[in-house]
This record gives sequence, C-alpha cells and structure tokens, in this order.
Amino acid sequence: MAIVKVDKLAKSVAQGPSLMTGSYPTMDWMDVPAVFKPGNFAYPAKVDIVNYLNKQQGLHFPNAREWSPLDDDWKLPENWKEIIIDGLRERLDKFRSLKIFMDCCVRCGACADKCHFFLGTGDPKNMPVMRAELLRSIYRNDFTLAGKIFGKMAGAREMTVGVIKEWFMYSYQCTECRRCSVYCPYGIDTAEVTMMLRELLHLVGVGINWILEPVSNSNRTGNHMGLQPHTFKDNVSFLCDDIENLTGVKVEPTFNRKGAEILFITPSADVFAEPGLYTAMGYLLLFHHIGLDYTWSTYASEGGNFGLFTSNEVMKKLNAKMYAEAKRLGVKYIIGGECGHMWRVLHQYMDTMNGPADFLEVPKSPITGTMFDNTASTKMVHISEFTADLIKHGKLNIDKSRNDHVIPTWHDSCNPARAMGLLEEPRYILDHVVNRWHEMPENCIREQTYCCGSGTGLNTDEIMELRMRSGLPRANSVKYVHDKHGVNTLACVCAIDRATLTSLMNYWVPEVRVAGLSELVANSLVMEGEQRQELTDGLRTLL
Amino acid sequence: MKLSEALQEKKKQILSIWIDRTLNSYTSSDFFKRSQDHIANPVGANIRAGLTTVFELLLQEAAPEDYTTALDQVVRIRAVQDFTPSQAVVPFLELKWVVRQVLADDKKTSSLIQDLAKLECEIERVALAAFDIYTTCREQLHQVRVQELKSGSYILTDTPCVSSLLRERKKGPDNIN
Amino acid sequence: MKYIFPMAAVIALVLISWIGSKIPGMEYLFGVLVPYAAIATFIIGFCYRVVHWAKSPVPFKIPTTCGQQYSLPWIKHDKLEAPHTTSQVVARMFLEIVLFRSLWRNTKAEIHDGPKLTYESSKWLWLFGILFHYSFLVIVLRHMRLFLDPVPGPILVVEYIDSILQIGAPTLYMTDVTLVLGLLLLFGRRLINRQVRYLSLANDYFPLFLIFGIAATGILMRFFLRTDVDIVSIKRLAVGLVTFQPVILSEISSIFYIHLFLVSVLLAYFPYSKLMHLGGVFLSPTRNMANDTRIRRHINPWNPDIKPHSYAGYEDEFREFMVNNDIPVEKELPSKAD
Repeated sequence: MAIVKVDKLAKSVAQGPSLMTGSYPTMDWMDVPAVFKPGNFAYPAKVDIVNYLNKQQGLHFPNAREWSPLDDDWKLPENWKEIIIDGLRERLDKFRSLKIFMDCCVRCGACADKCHFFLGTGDPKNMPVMRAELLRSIYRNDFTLAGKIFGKMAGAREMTVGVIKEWFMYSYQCTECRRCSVYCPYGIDTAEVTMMLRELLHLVGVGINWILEPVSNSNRTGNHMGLQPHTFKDNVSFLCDDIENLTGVKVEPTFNRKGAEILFITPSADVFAEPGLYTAMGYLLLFHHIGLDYTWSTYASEGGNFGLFTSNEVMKKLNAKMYAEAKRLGVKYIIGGECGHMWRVLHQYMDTMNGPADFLEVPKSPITGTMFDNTASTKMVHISEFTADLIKHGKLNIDKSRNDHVIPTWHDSCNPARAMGLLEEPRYILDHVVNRWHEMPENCIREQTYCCGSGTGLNTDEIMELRMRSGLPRANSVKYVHDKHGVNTLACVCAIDRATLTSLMNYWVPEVRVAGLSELVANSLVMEGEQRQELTDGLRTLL
Repeated sequence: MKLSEALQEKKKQILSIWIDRTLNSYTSSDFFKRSQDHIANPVGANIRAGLTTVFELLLQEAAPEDYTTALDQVVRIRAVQDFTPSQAVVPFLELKWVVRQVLADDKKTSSLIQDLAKLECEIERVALAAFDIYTTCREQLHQVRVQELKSGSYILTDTPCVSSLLRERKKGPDNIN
Repeated sequence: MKYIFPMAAVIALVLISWIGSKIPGMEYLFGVLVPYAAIATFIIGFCYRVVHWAKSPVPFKIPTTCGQQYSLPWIKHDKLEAPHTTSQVVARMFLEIVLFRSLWRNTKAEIHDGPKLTYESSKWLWLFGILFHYSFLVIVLRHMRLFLDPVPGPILVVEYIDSILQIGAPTLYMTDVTLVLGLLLLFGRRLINRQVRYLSLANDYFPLFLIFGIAATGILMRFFLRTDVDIVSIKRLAVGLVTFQPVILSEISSIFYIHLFLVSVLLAYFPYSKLMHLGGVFLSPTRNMANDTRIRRHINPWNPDIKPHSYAGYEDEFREFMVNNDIPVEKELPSKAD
C-alpha cells in the first residue's frame, strides 16, 4: 500500500507560504515585502481628522487623503522620498537617542525573543532589532559613509515605497512597551525608534484613525471619548448614583471648581467604559472617604495622551491642558489617576514640555501631611503613591474581607514599570486591601512585565486577531496563575489595560476579570454612614 | 508486536517529528522549538504540551470529550494567528503521516501499517473536533469584539466628535445647535 | 552566507600585507605610514563620531527604569536600577559598562513536568561577551609594554597574572586562549542561533574575522614563528612610532607586518562601524540619565512653542451646555434679547 503523501496533501490544503515549507525564510529580510490583508492593519485616518489636526497651532499633518493599505498605490505625495529623508535628518539633529540607537546596535540578539509581538507571531521582523533595522538600513544608506560605499553589504538599502509599507506595518506592531530596552546592553529603546517611524509616516500622510481621532477629540472636547462637558459630568453623576445605591453613601464631586486644593485627572475611559467605571467609582469613594478637597475638570478631562503615539508636538499640545487648567482653577497640585502611557508622559515629558509649574506647590497630602518630594518639580502625584501613603498612616478604614471574592494577580503596566519605576506602591496597596493575591512568574512581572499587546493606540477591533496574538505572552502567564492558584482577577493601574486585557482574558482565560487597583481599594473601604447592601461582587454587584 | 506497543515504543520519535512539523509552520520557528520556557515561549510550549497530550490520549483510546482541553491549548493559539482555517487544524491530520512514516522506517514495525485504519479514523475525528474548537474560538473572538463595542469604546469614533461634527456641517448649518 | 564576503575581505587583507611587505622598500609603508594613517583615522573618526552625537541634544529624559523608583521614604528604592541622583547613575553605568548588567538580566523561567517552576538564567551571551571583551582589554594593556620604556609596573602585573599558569615556553597567556574562545563562541552563536543568523549583517562578521586574524597572527608570532621575529626591532619601531621617530632597524618577519596591518585596518574601521558601541554605551539616554524627571525639570533646548486648545475657545464652544448643567464658567451666557 502506497503511503499517502499527507505532506503534499497538506501543502495543497494550505496555501500559505510559511506552512510546511520549513522555518526561517530563505530570502533576505530586505527582500520580503510587507503584505497587508484585512485584519493585519488598523484603518487609515480619515481625511477630515487629518485636516482638522493640520489646522491646529503648532501641529503639522500634511498630505491628508483617502488611501488604503490594501491598495498598491498609497497616493504618497510626489516628493515623499525627499520628505522622509529630510524628516529623518531633522530628527537625527533633534534627538541624540536616535543617533546613538542607529549607530550602536551590534545585533547581539538579546532583545529578539523579548518582544510580545515576536513571541505571539513568530514574524522575524517583529524582533526589536529587526524593527530598528527597518529604519537603520535607510539611515546607513543616506547618512553613513560605510553605507554609501558598501551599500547592501553594509546593511544599507534604498528608500522605496515598499519600505514605507514595511514601516507602517511594523511601527504599528509595536506598543512602545520598552521591554526590549531592559535587556539591551546599550539600552537601545525600540519605543524611540517606533516613535520616529510614526512621526516620519505622518509627514507623508500615513497614520491610523484609532489614534488620530482620539487625538482630535481630546484637543477639542478635552478627552479621547469626545465627551462634551455636560456628558462628562452626567457620566460621573451616574457613577455617583450607583455608589449611593450600593453603599448608601452620597458622593458629590465638583467640576471645574476654582479654589479646590487638588485637581484630579484620569483617563476619560474610566468614566465611560467598563470596567474602568468601577475604578472611577473607586476614586470617588476614596476621595469621599478621606474628605479630599478636589475637583474634576471637563476641559482637562483626559489623563491619557495619544499624542505619545503620534508625535512629540501632539503630545505637548494635549498635555499642556493639564497645567493650563491647574493654573486657571488655582489648585495647589494635581493627582493623576490610573493610566499607563499617561504616566510616561507625566513622569518623563510633562515638566520638560510644559513646565515649569511654578504656580503650583510641592504636593503635600492634606490627610497625612506627607510631602511628595519625588514630584517636587512636576507637582503631580500618582494615585497609588497617594493611596499607599494613606494606608501607611492608617487613614483608611479597611475591611479586607470585603474583597474575599477576588483573588488577584498583579499586572505591572509597561509604562509605570519601565518608564517610572512604580512597582512597590501598588503591591503595598494590594497587600492591604485583599487577603490573598499571587504574583505571576518572575520573568514576566515588574520591569520584565509583558505588555497587554494593544497599547500605543492599537486597541482597535479591526486588528483583534493581532491583539490576541501579541497579548498571548501576558494571557499565558495569567493562565498559569489562574490554573495554579485560582486567580480570578487581573489587577492593574492602566486604562488601556482595563479595556484591552478584558478582551484578552475573554478570549484566553475567560474566568479572569480585569480590575483597576482603586476599585479593589474602594471595595474594601468601610465608609462613614454607610448603609451597605450585601455586596458579594464589590462595586460590580448588580442590585 | 502489537500496534499499541509499537506506538508506545515510538512515542518519543513520533511526537518529536510531529511537534517539529507543526512548529515549522511559523516563520521563525527556531525559538519556538528551542525554548522550553512556558512563560517566555507561550506558542512553542503550549503547542508542545497540547500535541503531547493529544497523542497520549490517542494511545489510551480516551473518550472524545477528554480531548477538549488539549485541543483547545493548540487551536486557540492558531485561531488568532495568520492561518486559514485549514492551516490552523491541519497539524492534527498530519499525525497520520507522521505515524506511518515512523512505523515504515523500522522493519520491525513496517508491517503494522495495515492495522492503522482505526487509529487514523480516530485521528480524523480529533481533527474534526479541533475544527469545532476552531470555530468556537472564532465565534468567541467576535463576541469579544461585540463586548468591546458594548463596553463603551465605540464612543471613540461615533460620538459628536470632530469628524461627525464635520459630517454634520456638510449636511448643512441648520442641523447644528 | 553573509559571512563569505567579510571572510574573503580579511583573507585579502592578509595577502596584501604579506606580499606587500615582501617587496623591498615597502616595509616603511606597512611599518610606519599605514599605522600612522590608521591611528589618525581612528582618532579623528572617533572624535568626529562622538562630537556628531553630542551635537544632537537630549530633548527628553527617558531612562528605562528596571527597579523601584524613588518615592515615599518607607518604600525601598532600587538605587541601581532606577537611580535618581548622579552618583547612582554613575553606579548604574559602572555595572552596565564593566559587568554588562543588562545581558546578565537574561533570566528565564522553566516549567518542568511536575509541574515545577524553576528559574535559571540564560547567560551564555553575557559570558561570551565578557570573555571576549576582557581578554581583548588585557591584551591591549599587555601590548603597551612595546610602546613604553621602561615598562610601567601595572602592565608587568597584568602580564604576570595573565601568564600565571606557567604553561609552556614562552609561557602561555590565558587571554590569548580566552580571546580566541570568545571569538569562536560569538561567531558560532551567529551561525547556529538561527534568529541571530537571520539578523546578522556582513558588517557583523567582518570585525569578528578581522580580530580573529589579529589574534591568530599574534599567537603565531609568539608561539610558532618566534625565531623569525626580531623583538628588539619591533620594540624600537613601536617606541619610534609613539615618539614620532620611527626606524626600521632590520628585516622584521612578514607575520609581524600582517599583524600590524590588520590592527591598522581595525583601527581605521572602528569609528565607521558598530564597534563605536564602545563610545555609544556611555551616551545611551535610557541608561545614563537619572529617573528624577518629576524632581528636577529637564530642559529641551528646542522646546517648540505649542499652546493647548485654549480654555476660552473650549468654553465658547460649550458654554450653553455648561451653564445649563451647572458647570462653572468664566463668562456667562449673553442675556437673551427677547
């Protein structure tokens, strides 16, 4: 009997180039083009949006047009090559980081298997070093002697439309999570490379809608969600109603109030989208519990900053609202809610871009008297720093058993972990508000934490499969603690995490929910004058 | 030698070829194959574990429902990667070829090939079950999309934001209050 | 196959210097002119590259934090991984540059059947790197004896320790062995690890071959072709080179010229290649900056003038909604005419 050639059969069944054909592509990476198909790219930005942004003071968004990654012709402006090379030159002159990162890589490969996109897709161009090589090859060609003399031999290549397409594909398959930069012997940070690639692409009118529309919303209405002042207020009021129903406590937050001691800013997703809502309820309860004199703002109603994913100019423009509003309202300092990339902007960029904040005071907790010297210049305190201090001084009346329905694990969000170092504060809080929680394995927490896979404006549903694969490393480690310890909650301090990890868990580990840290804090609070229902599910209990 | 004994004896070899072939479907399979680290290499480790369990279950002639977890471990990953549905589940059918190849290579076991009908039937059933799981996964993926929309993120693109305002302006100034 | 061309290039370099130095009268070219040109290229190129880097400002302070930030006094601050003062940054850089801290971090967790979770590190790259770089450093230091007369004590100490095993005559230097070993391992890794092979470029192989050539000729000279080599002449030439009075006393063996030529090529190639990571590692903004951005304001010299969408503009657009919903405003609504 002849052996059935399943091998051949499978080949005919499977048309894909990779299946059954052996591992690494035999072609040189420069010869492998980026292929777009529905599901592997995010939609291009709408013309109206790009034009609107181009009209804003200080911003530059030229070459708006209708185009699709699926088309051969991306309708690039005629002098696109010149624009890109000039743009690259300008950026090399403005950022030492870019020059160093272009020159120093020795291609040791230490970063290669550290990227969640590589781990989830196996696509070699998702190795951080390769992502940078996409730009480095152009840099060598046009800006280095070796590249000019030896060309491809020295790893240089000509800028072509194909390169633009490749840049678009891989700069939007990077969440700027900086995990690779932890392992790099020269600290080469792919986030910097991705930022530059995205800035260059915007110069030729190549951007994605899921980033630019929130950016324009945020510019105009104050938040990504496009919530107008009354809607924003209404949403918070709904949350207050829910709180009253659940706990019998009437919380009355104020908006745009001059003379408040503290301005509170959090991602707008917290007041609108599940499960961020519960985190927002957490803030409301916590501040009520300690009688904080604070106000929300509808003008600066967005903590997040999609400018970080667009260009440094946009980042500055959106971020500037925070200080502007703090100054207008005459507050003493600002507390920032739970958000990942927001805190990268606040911690590493805000003061440089929009400071000095000499009209504010060095933050001092009105409850404990603690001076937050670590934010003496920026004058913005992280909610976890603030809460940890409250707990340390015994200012919160906590009943841990109220959180017995949750068994959390802690997800360090990329930016607070690797661009700030916020590692112990949340763990301290967790220790004090729940009876038991479990860490994930050592090589995927703290500075080695895995990204949710949907950061930097990649949290859109048209690339859901991509998000599921890039989030696999995170989901897999959650599954591990779920199987081992019965973990049922993934706690974090990031708004994008709350939205996207929820989707990730729904697919990979449906038994695990996602919760903001402040939700767990509020679950455990014993409020004065409370007439609490039997809250078997904390703030999420349906009455 | 009985078929079941032969399979038991050749288990290591069969699994090794089978897993390698499956992981070869990834562009850079080397790391997936090399790293045994469950946390650092989720794709490789889960596929390895899943396929191993499936083969063990086949040896034990397990009941159909026993396969679910192991199949899920493999298919759930492949359902969100760049594979067509057939590519996603074809590894299970490939086992037939691997078993034949391994048995044929050894004089002692080559005669057993004629007894494979039952096992192959079973393997086909497993592949079909894998396909069921594949469709469940895809369905779930769409549910995730819907839930994301329901949870409020949709407002990002459909509230009276700049673009829709501009759209309204195009319709005429009367529509704006 | 990207290593074929670099390998051929190094072989060509060997042949050029071998045949070239045999031609009467060419000793001066290979013994004096080429080394001077190479050193000049190295110094000028190196300075140019560093100045070129330094000319670009560091607009933002972007350290990668790998540990707990400095925050509340009772939270243990990780001074080395998230430094917030200059001295802590110096300590972090010291670990990075001297001990290759980041490569050391390469840990991995393994789950064995059981299931049992264990941690072990994957530190091969670190080991190969350390082996290579330190061997190279010691060898460079040892060679200083050729240029300095009398030979300084510290160099004698290095030499003594390096040959402490007292094997063979002339005694074996350990670093000769470890350098070659390090090179072979680094090269082998580029070949065998498919990921690394995939991303390697010709200019990753070239320095490996070149340094291998240098090491091989050096070892040949010391251990195998010793009788052909006139050490006194070499020392005279070396001292002459640094004192700008180069003399070539007698015929020095070709192997020396090959060695010297390859070293010259390495020096000249250095500033235009990835070998500049020697300088770059000191300037990497994710490592050499303090995580103190909320404590001290970092200045961006080209900070653009960009204003936010103004509050006034915002209120103008939404005033009616705000007033109707009891949100405080700066300017009340105009009183209605009728």
